[in-house]
Amino acid sequence: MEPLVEVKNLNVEFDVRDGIVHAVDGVSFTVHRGRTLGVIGESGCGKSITAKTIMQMVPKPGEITSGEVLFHYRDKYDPEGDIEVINITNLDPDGRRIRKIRGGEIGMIFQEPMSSLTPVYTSGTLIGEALHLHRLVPKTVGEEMAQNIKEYRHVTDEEAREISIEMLRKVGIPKPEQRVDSYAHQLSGGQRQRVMIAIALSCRPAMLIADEPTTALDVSIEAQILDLMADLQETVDMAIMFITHDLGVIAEVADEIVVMYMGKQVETADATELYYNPLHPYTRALLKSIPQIGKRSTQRLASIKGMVPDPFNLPSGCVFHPRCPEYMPGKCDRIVPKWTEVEEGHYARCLLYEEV
Amino acid sequence: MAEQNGAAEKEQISQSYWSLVWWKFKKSKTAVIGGIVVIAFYLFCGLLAEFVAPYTLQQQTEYLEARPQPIVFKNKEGNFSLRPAVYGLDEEIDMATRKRTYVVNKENIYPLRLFVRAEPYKLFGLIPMKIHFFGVNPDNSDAHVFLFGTDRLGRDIFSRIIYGGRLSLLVGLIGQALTLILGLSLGVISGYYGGSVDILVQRLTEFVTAFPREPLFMALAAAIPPKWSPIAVYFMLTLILAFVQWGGLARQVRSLILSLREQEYVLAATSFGASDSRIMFRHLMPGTMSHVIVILTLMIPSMILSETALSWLGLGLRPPLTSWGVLLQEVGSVRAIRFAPWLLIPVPFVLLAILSFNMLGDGLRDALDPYGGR
Repeated sequence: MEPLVEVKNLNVEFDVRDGIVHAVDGVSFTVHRGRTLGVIGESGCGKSITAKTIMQMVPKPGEITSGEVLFHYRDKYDPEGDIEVINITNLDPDGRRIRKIRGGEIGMIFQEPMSSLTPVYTSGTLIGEALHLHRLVPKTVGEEMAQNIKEYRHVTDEEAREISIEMLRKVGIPKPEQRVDSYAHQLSGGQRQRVMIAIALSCRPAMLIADEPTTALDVSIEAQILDLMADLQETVDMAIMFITHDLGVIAEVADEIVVMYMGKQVETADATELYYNPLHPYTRALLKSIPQIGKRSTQRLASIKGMVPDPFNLPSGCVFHPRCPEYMPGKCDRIVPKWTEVEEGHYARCLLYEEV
Repeated sequence: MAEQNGAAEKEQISQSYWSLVWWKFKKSKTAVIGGIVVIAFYLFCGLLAEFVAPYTLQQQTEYLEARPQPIVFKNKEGNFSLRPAVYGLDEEIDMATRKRTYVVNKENIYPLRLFVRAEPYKLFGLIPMKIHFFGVNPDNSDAHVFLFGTDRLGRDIFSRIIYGGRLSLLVGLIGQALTLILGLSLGVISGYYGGSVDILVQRLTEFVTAFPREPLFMALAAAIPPKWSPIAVYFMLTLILAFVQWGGLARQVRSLILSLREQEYVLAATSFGASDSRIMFRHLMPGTMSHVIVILTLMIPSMILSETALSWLGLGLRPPLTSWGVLLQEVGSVRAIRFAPWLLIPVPFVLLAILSFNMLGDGLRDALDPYGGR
């Protein structure tokens, strides 16, 4: 497995009026080429901020205080070329370099397909815009020479339109020749999300960040979109970072899963390993809270007791201890657990697995 | 498949935003009238002034300060006729005041004709033509038609109002174009970046808006070098007017951008690598257009009024350029009002133009929110 994006000990802080919020606190993971990484956690646990940090798009007043995001850049038009490691956190957020990576190398799709498309443009225009920014086509000087000349030019308008139609067909939109001239308000929610995916994939990114792409859609469309993403991933060899709070969805798509709680990464493991052998009490509680078909309806659905703590007054020690069913008094509220490899490739941040 | 066909049909039925706007605009009678009058003004004064006016701008006749000739429907014999005509004027010296006056001479009657050949001109500055929309028999050198009288140099006021409208109305358009560029770009930049850029732009607009207008106009207009050609002065003047006007537009655009920039599509555009300027001017700016159109339409009248006021004060356009303000400048004395009150006729034209602009703007404001109440 070849690493594509390495996130190392990432910290993002928001300096707001009421104090400092550690939105992302020491998160580390690796996304491999062609594989899917799932990130789960409840609302506000820092999933989306992590994703935006990878794109160097931290919203104000957020700031990356430490850590790095290493992107293993390989020129897609020169597959034999060397891999260059770029530290994205060092790039100027408005610079030319990061704009080449955004969209060109890492695509992103969002939660709200209803408002993610600029209402004044057709889907063709929007795909074309991305194409003009990133997609290059080989220069054809002459038939024989074209093989040897490794020069590229930007797409023309006609080519962009053709590619747009092709992309819309790929993402399963019926009558793409007509839909290419449709505005966002003329498309349904599922179609809009498909157009978003088409925009993100049109420039052949090495990685796609899907930030809860199916939350706003109904389940049948959700299944279609997930299938579509899986199909496309196979055909274009693209890594996916899939962010969601839906444990069922993530079980289906992810190869590896990162569990986050209050900005901290609490557990990371292979998908099957995590589902069959969850180590952290939070992960266990999460998995218990999935409603199951066939259970007796008189049973109450399991939930995690307590409330999500106030981000300005995080509990001492392990942030999960006030809600933890395996709370060890005197230990969990005093000692901050470390990131430990409990089993091979299975990491957790819990004092249960630490010698203290 | 059947469902898709249904969707396609439905789409043809569902109306686009602009067709809804047009539908609602048509419902408002005042707005339609305002719009027609505005278009007529720009068509007749702006494009076809040479054709509509029976005389050219500087054409002098021997009738100095002649009173307006009323239109009568009579023929030479004094019987009713459908063809409108004007009576000739005879010069008389009032021995008591030693002043020249004109009296109607019912012996001479000049029937009005359409499409007469008179003074040559160039339509649109290109096509040489001789035909004027109306006039009197060009073979009779005595014949004349002064619907609104003449001024001190014997020039036809009707023709001069038509020509003057061109400059007065164009001040509105050119000025608004400059206001648009300045106000829109500064508003978008200020709203999108926020922070210190926003504070800087906002203080600048406040400074410009808070400045008392008339003294600023006068100071700026007085600063125009007197040696400049009238055309240069004209463009300088529109520049000054635009400079004073852009603040309001910038503020409204800024507040619109403040809400639009939080939309998800801005995030989406950033995520596919769009630069700041692309996001600002391609993704955000079009969203403000419906507001901007209304603001601009409602701001044109104040621009026309400012030009008229400045020219009337002698700070704006100067002869030989002719605008409504320049025409009114000639009525700046009691003598003119006492002996040649018809020189005031440009006033109703100014009023009409401004009224119809306001009616059009109000109608547009209602129409551009087709989903709103009422």
